[in-house]
Parts: sequence; structure tokens; C-alpha cells
Amino acid sequence: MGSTKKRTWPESENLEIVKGVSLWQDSWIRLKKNRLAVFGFYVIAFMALIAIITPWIAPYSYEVQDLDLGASPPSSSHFLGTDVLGRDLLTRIMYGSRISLMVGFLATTVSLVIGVLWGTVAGYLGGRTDSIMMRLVDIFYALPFIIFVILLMVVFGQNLFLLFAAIGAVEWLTMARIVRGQVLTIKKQAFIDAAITMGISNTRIITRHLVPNVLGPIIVYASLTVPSVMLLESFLSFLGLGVQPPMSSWGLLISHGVETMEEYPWLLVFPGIFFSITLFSLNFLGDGLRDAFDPRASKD
Amino acid sequence: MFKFIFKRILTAVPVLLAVVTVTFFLIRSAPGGPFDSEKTVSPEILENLNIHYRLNDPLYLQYLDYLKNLLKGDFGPSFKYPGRTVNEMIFSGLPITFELGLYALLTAMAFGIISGVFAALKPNTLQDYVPMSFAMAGICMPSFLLGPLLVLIFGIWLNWLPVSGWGDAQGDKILPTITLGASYAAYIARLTRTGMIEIMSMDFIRMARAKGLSEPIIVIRHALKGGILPVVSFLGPATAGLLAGSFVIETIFQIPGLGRFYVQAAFNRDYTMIMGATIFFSALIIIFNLISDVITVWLNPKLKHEIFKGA
Amino acid sequence: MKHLPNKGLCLLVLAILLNILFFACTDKRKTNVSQGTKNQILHMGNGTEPQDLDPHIVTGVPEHNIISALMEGLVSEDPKDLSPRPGMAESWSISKDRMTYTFKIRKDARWSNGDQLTSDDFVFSWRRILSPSLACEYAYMMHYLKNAKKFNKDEITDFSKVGVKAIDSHTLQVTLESPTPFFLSILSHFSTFPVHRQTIERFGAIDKRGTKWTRPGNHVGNGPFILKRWELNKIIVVEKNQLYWDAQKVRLNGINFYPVENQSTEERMFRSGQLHITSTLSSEKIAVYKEKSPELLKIVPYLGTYYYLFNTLKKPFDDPDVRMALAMSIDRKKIVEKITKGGQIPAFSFTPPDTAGYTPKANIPFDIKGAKELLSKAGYPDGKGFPPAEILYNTSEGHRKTAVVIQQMWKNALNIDVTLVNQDWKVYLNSRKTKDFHIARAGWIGDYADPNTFLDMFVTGGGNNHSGWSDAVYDDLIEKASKTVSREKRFELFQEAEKILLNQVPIIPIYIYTNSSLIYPDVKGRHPNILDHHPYKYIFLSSED
Repeated sequence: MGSTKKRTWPESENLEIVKGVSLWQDSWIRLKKNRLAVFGFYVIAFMALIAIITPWIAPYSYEVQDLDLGASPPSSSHFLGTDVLGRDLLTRIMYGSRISLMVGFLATTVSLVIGVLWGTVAGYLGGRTDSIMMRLVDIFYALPFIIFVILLMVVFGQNLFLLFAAIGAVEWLTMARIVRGQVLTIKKQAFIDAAITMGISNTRIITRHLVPNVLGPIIVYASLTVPSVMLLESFLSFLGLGVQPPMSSWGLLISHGVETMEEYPWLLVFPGIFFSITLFSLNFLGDGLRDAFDPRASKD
Repeated sequence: MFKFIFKRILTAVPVLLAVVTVTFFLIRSAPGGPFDSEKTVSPEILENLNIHYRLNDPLYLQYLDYLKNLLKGDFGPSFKYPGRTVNEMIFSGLPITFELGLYALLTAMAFGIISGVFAALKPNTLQDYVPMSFAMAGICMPSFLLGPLLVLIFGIWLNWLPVSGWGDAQGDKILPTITLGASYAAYIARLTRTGMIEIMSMDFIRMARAKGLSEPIIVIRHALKGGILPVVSFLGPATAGLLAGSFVIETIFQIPGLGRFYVQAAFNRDYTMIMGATIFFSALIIIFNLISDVITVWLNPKLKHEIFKGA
Repeated sequence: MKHLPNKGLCLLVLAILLNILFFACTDKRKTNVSQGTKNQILHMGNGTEPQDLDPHIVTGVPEHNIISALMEGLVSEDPKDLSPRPGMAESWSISKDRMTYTFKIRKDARWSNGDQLTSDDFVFSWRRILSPSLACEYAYMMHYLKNAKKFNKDEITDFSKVGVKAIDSHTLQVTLESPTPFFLSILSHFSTFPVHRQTIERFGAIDKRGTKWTRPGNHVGNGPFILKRWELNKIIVVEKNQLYWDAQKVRLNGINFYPVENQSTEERMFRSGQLHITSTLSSEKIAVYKEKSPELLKIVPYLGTYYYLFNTLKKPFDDPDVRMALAMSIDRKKIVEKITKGGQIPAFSFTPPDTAGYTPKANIPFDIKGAKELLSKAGYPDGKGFPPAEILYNTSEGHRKTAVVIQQMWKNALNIDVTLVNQDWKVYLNSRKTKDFHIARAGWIGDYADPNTFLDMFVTGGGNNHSGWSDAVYDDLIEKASKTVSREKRFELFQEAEKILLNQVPIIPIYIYTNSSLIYPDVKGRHPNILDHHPYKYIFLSSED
């Protein structure tokens, strides 16, 4: 979506800003004022940067083992300790971030695009179309996911793009239902009627008026999708789709860490900390974005 | 409304049929059969097993047979457990999973909605940050981590609660309920907060305030109805997901529920059991999505026409 | 109207809260273990939910654990060395050519419903297991009987031609296909156990699978215990059978079997006193218990070998030099010490040492220098030009770790890169069966204590020989061994066969399995042995030493 005039909707009291600042610019300004959101943004940018340059800065190799060392707690040579095969945990977390961030963002984007489009179209067109589209969602929901994943793996072999496809394929369903629910409420409001009366095309109404007005729940649900997607990845890797050892991901590190949480707690705690920091930041950012995009946001 | 519900139940028939059909052919095309095991079964024995379970018939005949039996309410024998029928296994597991899911959902709703509303009343203050941080922690903490952690703390170190079981010892339902409910509580809290913030900035709330209505009345009588709409949309699929997601919890806490049967059946290629569980599962999804739609209308009568005419 | 649902909801929530919150945290709960020890009830973790309790249908270890409490064969096992002891047969005689066995069924042998157990019960039962349409996967255990294989394959239909006959109601005569030195130990395997004819026929035909005869109330057995309760995926309860012939020796009053699949859950249940015995223990926990409470940890050697399997039809693994180079460069000692940690024995040959007195003499050396030479001889000096290869394993923490370590060992020793592929169990079995792999992880557990159960799997076309390897001399040696009576001569033949196997390396033996479990010291009379069989009638519980 490009820049557009601030939507003028009758009940809003924002009528005075009719021209000049675009919705996106306006939102950007508001976002920058939210310190938590800015903080979240920087943390995520930092994590992404680390993930990109990991191959050049990682202190050790992610695969070289030291079986005699085994699992060792944090020390001066291994800041975050080593895993049961004597591999440096910090290095593995750094490499893991590459997989997890990629899966987290790409799969969420996939689910977001499909889910939002599906939900808006169903909600906006309503009637029989809505009914059919939503029943299709029900069907997708009911199919046995494990079998679906096994088939994907067998037919295409293991690769990362399939991982996104598989995850996106399940995660968009809930998104579609939430968006549809919101759209149903919003489309009854006067400004949509106004748009329709003015003869604006359906596509335009959906992209320009409906989507921006349901952005709140979308952003929040999307930021909730990221962690569940990252954890789902570890389950898919367990089924053989996704990353294969010796490469790892945060989800895998955490699920392996749980197995030995009493013996070697650092193997759970450190990946968990990185995971949580990223997700907290993401949520601050998400909330900030939500507030910034809120078309009804007042200036207080 | 009753006409709507009736119509929706009618449309459930093609939906279920589609699920049955797709699932049937999906599981048959997955590699590995129910009788593959470490020690290879001799060809003659395998042949006899295939004859016994009629796996040698052309696939479409097997499909038609399955449909025929399904109409009679017969889900067939389990392939993995020769002495059991799928009906028997489902009815032994379903009530337990249902109970677990219900408790978890109610707990999640109670905690989620209350903390979401509180957070939304004073956004970006401590009243917002504290419950929302808890919510985030709930989301970051997957059940495969939370479960063992709770068991270690309350079951083993403090020795307050049993480490496993369901309805066998006093208090053994607490930890599974919390574990399953936690992440849903977190989702609900966050969705409630968003929904409420949107609603609280709407004109009719301002009008109500201007009329001098007290804040609690505004929240409960007016705002909550619209504010939890995203939650209601989420609840339909979530309830069904809750039941399926109970697999992890049932494994950790050694609970003989349907979730365990379902996942094990997929791994064992227990064809009939996967089919049976999938059918029940989709029926649940249909029912809960219907309930979610009905609640949406109840909360927002304006949508009556919108939602009901579609069916 | 508006407020009513709220009130109802409140009540509902309150009721549920009361339901789940109702617990007593001040009262120290009595544990299963302390209660059980007092009442002689054994609480046992038992792996997975048993498929069924029909000895002629099932195959697994959890099933074995329960069936051996409920039923008994002609011969039972000594709790220490598993040597044959009288069971349903009070005595037996063996003909000179070791082809005919005559069993005297004991007069006081009774079914749990009071019926007399006779030799006809065995004839019926063995006809049942050999019936082609019952499709018993373990029917091959009975193929040593004369004409049994033919009957089982539907080549003959007259059961009287099969080598089992009731001379009178208490004399059973068994004729074998060839002298089978381990035949008596096969008779303590559950697939040879008798079933109660009237019960079977009440619930279906002789060859009907999956009837309800194994349910509590219907089940009729002849073992030291009777089936009391069976709740799916939850518990199986058995109680002492007063009609069992040796009942005065049985000291346990009952056993509770819990199908606990998750290792961590099982360990926690043990720790909180819900189980006397676990069925397994994870390798990380083994290390912890070794250090902190070794008195609870039991590690016993097990009759099984963990190995890697080559697809010898795929390049470059069709070259024995390549296979040998890979086999020689694995540091097995490191794997058992650092990865599996359960006291496993590094395996340099396939048959576990001291299998019924047989210890293989041939072995694969651990020699990295030699491995390098072999690899360059095969045309890949310093790993150059080695085609991409994959290690296939089924999803499991232990297999994953082992594969990652072996991958690294090959990389370090031979400078070759292999990738890892994990698949879920059934997909893995399918890939193995269709030979869609390069190198695959595998394991073999012996059916009975004899080298034959290990070595006969690699004969040409053997159902479990997934390597594609075949060697006429090897086949010949195994065939000869099966016809040889003298123990020394048989073992010589096996030694020679094993030498060929290890020379040609279609497989890389890695370690000999052990069984690790946690057992409270209260459990007495349970002795370690390689098949992990523990006849319950010798077990009792006591908190004293």
C-alpha cells in the first residue's frame, strides 16, 4: 500500500488534518514517540544483524564437538557453557537465531498475507461467499497435521521453504477467523457505507478502508504467531521437515534443553532468554505499531 | 437464529464429507503402513493381515466401505490395537480430554479476560505492563517446558501435588489444567487488551462517560461486549486446538485422553483411528466455530443479518 | 435475563475450582511404593499401551511383561540364568537324535476358571498360532516344528501332519524339522503359550483376530496372576491366581502395569514414589543416578546390537573397502562413554559376547590410519571425490546424538561429509525396506539366547537383511549350522560366518545394548539377565534388607 490521504470518516474528530501528513508518515511519527516500541525495534534489529553476521563473528564452529568436555557450565572460554557434545552454546544460539528468526518472520508473513486476505474477503463479501470460505477454513483445520507434514517431507524432501509453507498453511486459519470477525463489525459502520455510496471499488474498500481498520488485532495476533511458529518449527524438525543436525534453532535448543533441565539448566535458560527477549521486544513493537496505526488514536 | 443453527448443522455434512475424503486419501498416501515394524513381517503374514483388514481391495472400494460403515456409526477396528474398536477408544479418551480442555479454557478465559481488561483500562502504565508481561511469559513458555517445570516445583520439590494422573489422586487435575490453560490465557489477555483499547476509544463510550456512568458499568455493560470480539473469533479454533494440543499435556502428565490416541495413531499409521479422531475433531471445530459465531451475534446484534444470512 | 447467565457461570466456575482445587497439601501423601511394598503390590512402568494380551497376536516387550504374568508355557525360565525349568510340563525327555521331545503335563495344571489344562490345549494353541489367517507375526517361532512352516504358509491344511501330538491328556509329543538346540528356550517365549480353547471359541473362531477374550472378566489364563482391570492407556491390574500350580511360591499379591511412554514422566513418577520399577531411563539421567543414587540404578547387558547398515547396492557402498574404512574409523568407546552412558559395550563384532556361550572371535579394528589407506585404495584419497552420502535414522534423541557424533568422527578421520536425515518411525521403516537410503541406523534384539538369532538375518534374501548384501558361502555356513547337533561344531560354523560378515561389513556394529532402569531396593528376587525376563513368581517386596 502506498501513501494515501488520511481517511476521512464522518464520526472521527480528526477531521482537521485533511491533507499533508499521510497515514504512514503520521503513524511513523507516533511510533517514534513510543519509547518501548523503539527499544523493541532496536533489539530486533540487533538480533537480526547478529543473525546475518554470525558466520563471521561466531566464537566457535557450531558443529565441532569436544566429547571429553561434554556439557560444561559457563566459563571464560565458553561464555554460555557447552552442550552435551561439548559444542559452544553461544555459537549454537547465534546460528539458531538465523533459522528461528527466518522461520518466525517469513512463516508469519505467509500466514498473515493469506489469513488477512481470506478473512477480509470473506467478511466483507459476506453471505454465501463468507459461508463457503469459512467452511473451507474448517476443513483445513480438521486435517491431520502430522500426516500432512510427513507427506510434504516425503514428496519434496526436507527444505526450509517447505517449512514456511507447512507452518504458514496452518497458522493462517486462525488469523482468517479473527480478521473476518473484525471486518464483520467494521463494515457495518457508516464510513464503509459512505465509501460504497461513493462508488469506490471493492478492492479499494478492502485495502484502503477495511484492512487499516482491523490492523490492531492483526498486528497483535501476528506478534503472537511468531513465538508459536518458532516453537512449531522444532516439532516439524522432529518429524524430519526443517533443520537437520548439526544445525540447530532456538526451538530445538529449548526442547532439548527441557530434557536436561535439571542436570544442565544453562542449556535451557540461555536459549530461553534469547527467545524471550526477542519476543518481548517484538510485542513492544507490535503494541507500538498497533497504537500508531490506530485510526481513532487521539493525540493525548 | 434457530434456523441459522439448523442450516449450519446441515452444511456440516458436506464439510465432514470433505474432511473424511481428503483425510482418507491423505493418510493412505503417507509412506509406511500399519504393519511395518523393526522385525520385518513375512510376506505371507502380511498378505493375511491385508486380507483381514481388507487392505488389498482397490482404494476407492475401501473408501466406499468406510463411508458405508461410517453411516452406521461404525468407525471400524483399530489396526494397532487388534482387540479394540475405534469407537471404544474414542469414547474412552474423549471425556477426559474434553474435561481437561474445558477446565483449561475456563481458567484461561477467567484470567485472560480479567487481566486484559485491566491492562486496557490504563494502557501504558504499570497496570498494563505487569499483566501483559505475565501474558508474554505465558506465550514464550511452551507447554512442553511449563509442564515439567510445574511438576518439578510442585510435584517433586514441594511435594504438594501429584506428578501424574487424572482423577486418581486429590489435586492431580491442577497442574495439567494450568499447563494447558497458560498459553491460551496469555493469548486471550492480549487479544482482550487490544479489543478493549479499540472500543474504549469509540464514541459511544465517550458518550456514556459524558452521561456520567461509572467506569465499571461502562466496561461491563458496554465496552466488554465489543472488546472481546477478537477473543470470540479466536475461541472457536482455539477450543478445538486446545483439545488437540492436549497431546503434550496428556503425555507429560500420563493422562489417558484422546490427544494421545490421536497423535500416536498418526505415528502408527493406525488408519481407522486417525480417521475416527479426525472426524470427531472436525465435528468439534464445526461446533465451536458455530458457537463462536452465535456468541458474536449475541454480543453484537447488528451483525445478525450479516452472519446469519450466509448460512 | 441479563444477569442470570452471570450467576450460573459463577456457580459453574466455583464448582470447577472446588473440583480441581480439592487437595490436601498438609497431609503427606502415601505413595504407591510404600503402600505397595506393604501389600505386596508391585507398581511397574511398562513402556507403551499393550497392543493386546493375546499371546498369539502381539510381539512387543510391554506385552511380554504382562502376558508372562497371566500365562505360562510348557517350560518356564530360571530367574537367574534363564535355563529351562518345569512349567506346565513337569518333566520332559528328548530323543537321541534330538528331534523328538516328550512332555509330561503336570496333573495339577489348571486354568484360572478351574478347568483342567491338558495336552490338547497345546495342540489347539499351536494350531491357532500357525493358522495362516490368524496372521501371527511370531508364528516363525514355531517353524522348528515338523511341517509347521508349510502349514503356516497354507501349503498343507492337515494339522495332524504338523509335529505336535497329544499322546494322552497329559503327554505331549513334539517332533522337530531338524535338531534345534535352543528349542526348550523357545518354549518359554509367549508365542508358544497355551490359550483356553472354550474361551477362544466363545468369542470367535480359532483364527479370528482381535476378539474380546482378553478383556478382564473374559480372560482365562494359566499363569501366576489373573487379569483384574484394564484401562486403556492408563493401567492394567493383575491379581494373584490361587489356582496356579505353584501358587504357594508366588509372594506378590498383584502387579499394576502403567503404560508410561515418556521417559521423563516415568522418571518423575518413580521419584515421587508412584512406581517401583521404570522401564527405561534416559542417558543423561543415567549419569546423574550413577553419581547420586547408584543403589536405585540397574544396568544390565541386553541381548541386542546397535548397528549401522549400508545399502550395498548404492555407490560407493558397494565397495567393501569403503565400508571397512567407515567401520574402522568410529571410536565406539567414546560413543558409549560420552553419549549413551548406560554401560553399553563397544561392539566390534555383531553377535553380543557370551550369547549362550558363543563369543565372536573376529572383529573390526578401530584403526584410523588403516581406514585412511583403505579409503584411498578405494579411490578417495583424503576423502576427495567422496560422493554425498546420508545417514538415515528414526526420530529419537539418542539416535540423533549418535549420528551427529559419527558424522563428526568420519569428518575428522576421513575428511568425508555425510548429511543426516531423520524420519518418523514408519517413514524410516519404509525407506529401509525400499532401500531408499545410504547408511541407516538399526538395532537388533535377539529373540532367544543363541547366535543364530543374530547371524541368520544376513542370509541372502532374509526378511531383515536390508543391506542388499549376499554371500553364498555365508548362506551355506548358516544353513549347515542349523543342521548341526554338536554345540562346538555349530559355534565353529557361526565363527566362520561372522568372520565373513565382518570382513565384508554390510553393517557396522556399534555397541551392545544394555537395559537401564530405576528400581527401588524394596524389590527383591529380581535378577539381571540378558533377555530382561523376570519371572514374577520369584519377586517379592520388602523394605528390609
